[in-house]
Amino acid sequence: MHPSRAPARRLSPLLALAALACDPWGRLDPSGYTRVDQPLWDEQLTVVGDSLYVPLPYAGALLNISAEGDVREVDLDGARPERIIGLPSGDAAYVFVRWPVCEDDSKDIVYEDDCPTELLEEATEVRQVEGPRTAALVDIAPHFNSISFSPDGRNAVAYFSGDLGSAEIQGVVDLTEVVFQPLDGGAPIAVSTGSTPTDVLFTTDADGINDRAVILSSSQVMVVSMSTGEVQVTYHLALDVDSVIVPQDAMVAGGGRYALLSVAGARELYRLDLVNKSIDIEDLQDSPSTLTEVRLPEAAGGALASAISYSNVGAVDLLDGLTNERLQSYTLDHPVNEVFQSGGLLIAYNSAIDAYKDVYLIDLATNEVDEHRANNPLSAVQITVDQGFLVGLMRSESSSTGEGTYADRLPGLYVLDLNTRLEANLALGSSPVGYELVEREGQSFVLLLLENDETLYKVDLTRPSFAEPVELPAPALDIAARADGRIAISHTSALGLISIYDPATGDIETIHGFANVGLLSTPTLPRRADD
Amino acid sequence: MRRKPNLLLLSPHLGPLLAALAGIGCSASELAGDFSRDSGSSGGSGAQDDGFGGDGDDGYVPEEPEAELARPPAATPRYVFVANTSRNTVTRIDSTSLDVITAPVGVGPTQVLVSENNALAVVFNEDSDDLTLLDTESLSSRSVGLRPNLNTMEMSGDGAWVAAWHNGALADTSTGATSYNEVSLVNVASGTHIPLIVGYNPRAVRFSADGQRLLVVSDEVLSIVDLTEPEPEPVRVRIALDTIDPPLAEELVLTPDGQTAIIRQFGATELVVVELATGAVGAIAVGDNPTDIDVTPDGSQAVAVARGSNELWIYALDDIFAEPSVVVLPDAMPFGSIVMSPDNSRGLLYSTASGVPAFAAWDRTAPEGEEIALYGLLKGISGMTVSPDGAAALAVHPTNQNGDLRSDSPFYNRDAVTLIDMGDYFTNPIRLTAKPVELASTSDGALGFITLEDSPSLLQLDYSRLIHDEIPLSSAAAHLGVIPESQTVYVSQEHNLGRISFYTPSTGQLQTITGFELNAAIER
Repeated sequence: MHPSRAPARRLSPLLALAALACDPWGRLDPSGYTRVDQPLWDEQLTVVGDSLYVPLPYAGALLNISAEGDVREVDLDGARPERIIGLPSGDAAYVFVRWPVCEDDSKDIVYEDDCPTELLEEATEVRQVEGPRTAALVDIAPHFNSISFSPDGRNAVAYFSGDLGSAEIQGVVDLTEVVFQPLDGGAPIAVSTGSTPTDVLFTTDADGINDRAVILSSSQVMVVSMSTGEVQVTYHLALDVDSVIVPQDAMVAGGGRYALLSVAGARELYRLDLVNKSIDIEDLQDSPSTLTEVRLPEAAGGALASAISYSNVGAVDLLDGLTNERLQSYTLDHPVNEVFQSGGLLIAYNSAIDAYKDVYLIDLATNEVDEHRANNPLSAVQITVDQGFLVGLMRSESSSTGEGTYADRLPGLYVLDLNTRLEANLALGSSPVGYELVEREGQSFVLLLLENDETLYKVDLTRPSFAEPVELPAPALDIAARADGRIAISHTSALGLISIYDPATGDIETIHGFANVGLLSTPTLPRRADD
Repeated sequence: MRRKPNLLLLSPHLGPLLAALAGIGCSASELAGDFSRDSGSSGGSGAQDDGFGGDGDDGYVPEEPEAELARPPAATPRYVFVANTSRNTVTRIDSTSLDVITAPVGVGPTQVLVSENNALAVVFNEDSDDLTLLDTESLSSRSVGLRPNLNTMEMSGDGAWVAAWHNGALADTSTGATSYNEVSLVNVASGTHIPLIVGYNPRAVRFSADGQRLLVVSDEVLSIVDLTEPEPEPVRVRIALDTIDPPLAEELVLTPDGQTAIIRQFGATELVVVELATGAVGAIAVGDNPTDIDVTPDGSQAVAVARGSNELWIYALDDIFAEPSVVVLPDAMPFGSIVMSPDNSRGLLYSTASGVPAFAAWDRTAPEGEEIALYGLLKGISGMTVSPDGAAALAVHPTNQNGDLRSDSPFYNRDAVTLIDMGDYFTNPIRLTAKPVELASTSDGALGFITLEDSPSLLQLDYSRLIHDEIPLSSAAAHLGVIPESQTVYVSQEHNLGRISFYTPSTGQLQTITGFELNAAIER
């Protein structure tokens, strides 16, 4: 398949296709008019390495767009893609698929509509795909709606996290089961935890290999060897089975010796000693909002520490990673719910409450707290690779009054130079679709997309008030960076339109028309009951 | 020998106090000391004593028993054991690493004692009427049933036997058909339970130092149990000649050789002496209404306070029938209790019954006639103790024994303690926010620690400087102790998943461990 390279314009979501007379439109309704009531393609970008995967919901197909722009249909053996998860290696993805199965093997039954309803069922499976081909069937049950990967990229961990959504249970299912799937193709290992998992953490051995999974679930934490499936220890978080302790946030601390977890609505921090197999509970100032592992700068000893922020208290506490003793308590003007480390700084802000617009830069070496204030509440804060700039999106404030009212009603882009501590609040003409940070020749840029806007704004972070416009073929819907540094942008277009922007050259390549696959054909039943 | 002391009046407050003493009219409830008796293992030099309240006949109620403020922890060289009554567990603390682990025991564990060989921790479970015999290393356990409605446990010095009994000085939570004449005797090694019937209302249970006898003194009967017999049974000896209205026994002291028991009865004029081998009963004079009897720390003498006649009677324990020496106390001071300094050289006399805000220092090295000196305090006394090195003493004051305090005094109707320098008897009264519950002291005698009722704080007392510091805790303190051979204090606290804090005075570091009850549920 060769994509067209010309820009396309967006059509109505209820696509009206009329008077299309050439092949492959041969199955057009005799009236000459066919109405399609669902999107032909999914505009949310799934980037795996340098390639893109684009589901076609109407056709029930999956496309792979290679780094070179070649569009090919992924061989799913007639199945329909439901979810796509890129593997850490960047060269493959898990695709959850389903397909109709007719229990009647009669040759008269060719299409799905031919099969009596009572004989029609759906089958599901998970396929590992590499580019356009299926590399392997993966032994992960499709009802597993949560998949994470160990940081070393060696294992996928799949489990059912409580909300079944549109998935269906088939047969007898242990919903507390956790499956470890080696990504090198080894046999999966299943462990029944006895309680619905909520999160999975990983510990690291001396060789840097993630050897154990710490499975959190209601009132219980289980440590499992990922190589053998052996349950090494089970911690119960309550003595009374009627008491339900729901972990809210968790992290591995102290270089893998401890697991720290907070509990929803509680002012307590559970510290599970994974070596001595014991539990200690620390009283905190308030219910924690985030737990973050921090590496202190050499000037502050270079040790690991745990940073804790609170839902209702303006403070960040720094605990010793090994002893859990409080090293520092930073007083802030407002509570924060986002805390992360960037070099020697701890950066904290609140993404949940509009009234709190402060950004705090906490110097871990000097313990000084530098407070900045954005015009509007912040979200999606990122730091450039060189750790020179902080960038975040600002939400509009519809209920604002008083000074600055007009600016407050507008969404914005916030830029903070982490070296000079100069900041810029940029108003945006429409809500941001998304942004990506790029670096070129030692300079940092923001590539920003706005709703209903056919322009890509390239903001030089050293001069943030200057935004270079880059013309796009259509308004953008999503943006994602590929591994090779090029930026994929999806656009409003019924038949499919994706731009690939190269920040290095400024070139834009467009790929369009790919969503016409199977548009006017009726798929036959892909597999039969005896397949 | 009878010696008349010279009265040294050192406190300017004592003049009006002395004048007023004759007219003190406190009710019994006002005069009753607030320090509750903690039951536990007895230390000492082989002679032991104990005390109990009862009706008196000299105008005052009996003295409060000497509170075992500095109760030693149930400890082996490696571990300390703490009972968690509300959680039905026992906490084991590694005294080196401070690692904490719990073990499930019976219902309502109230006491833990450790056998002499450190192999077993014996847990008394008051609500399930049984003992848990806990292996101190593995924490494996077995249970031994007891008679119902018992509330106190004693262990023989060699750890071979445990006796559980109903101590009438403690709250009576008995249910169902109840006999107050019972003792449960348990052979720790075999786990054999031997129920015994003794006299009504046991007052004290003691094992002889050699572990061969169990003695139970009740209101009117001393029961002697020969533990060397294959099936031990009590020999009951009636200790009161008056069978209609006998004076009630209050206290039992054993001579160091374990052959003779000395029993103090409230309102009596003699001490009862029982030769244990034969059951022969004799008597020795003691003045009027003896209200306390202590064995001196060196174990050589017994000292009885005759409150009714204001005298101290001193007996040689190696010849109890030899003529005692008598020290006359100030007439106007109804002292009824005594506590001795560890070096045997001094004693402090006080009264928990009279409400007298004063104590007397008995200097045994002073010239004859100058041994007794009086010192005033701000409030009445509910208990006194001397620090392990004898450098300081601590007086505990009940809330409402205000002496002659004005109502605007910061100590009026407030709980308090007073630190007393045993060198010059200088005092530092300290107002408290709640009633003191437990006291522990470091073995070097430098520091003492107090927990307060329902209070999330630990009070540190510097015995040499008479100064205090308050250390906040995360929740209300339950039990307190000092890790053996260290200055590290442990304080168990109220928390449904278990909480214990370790305080290191040298660094001021307070380390709190919470949730260790969950450790017992960890599946490894």
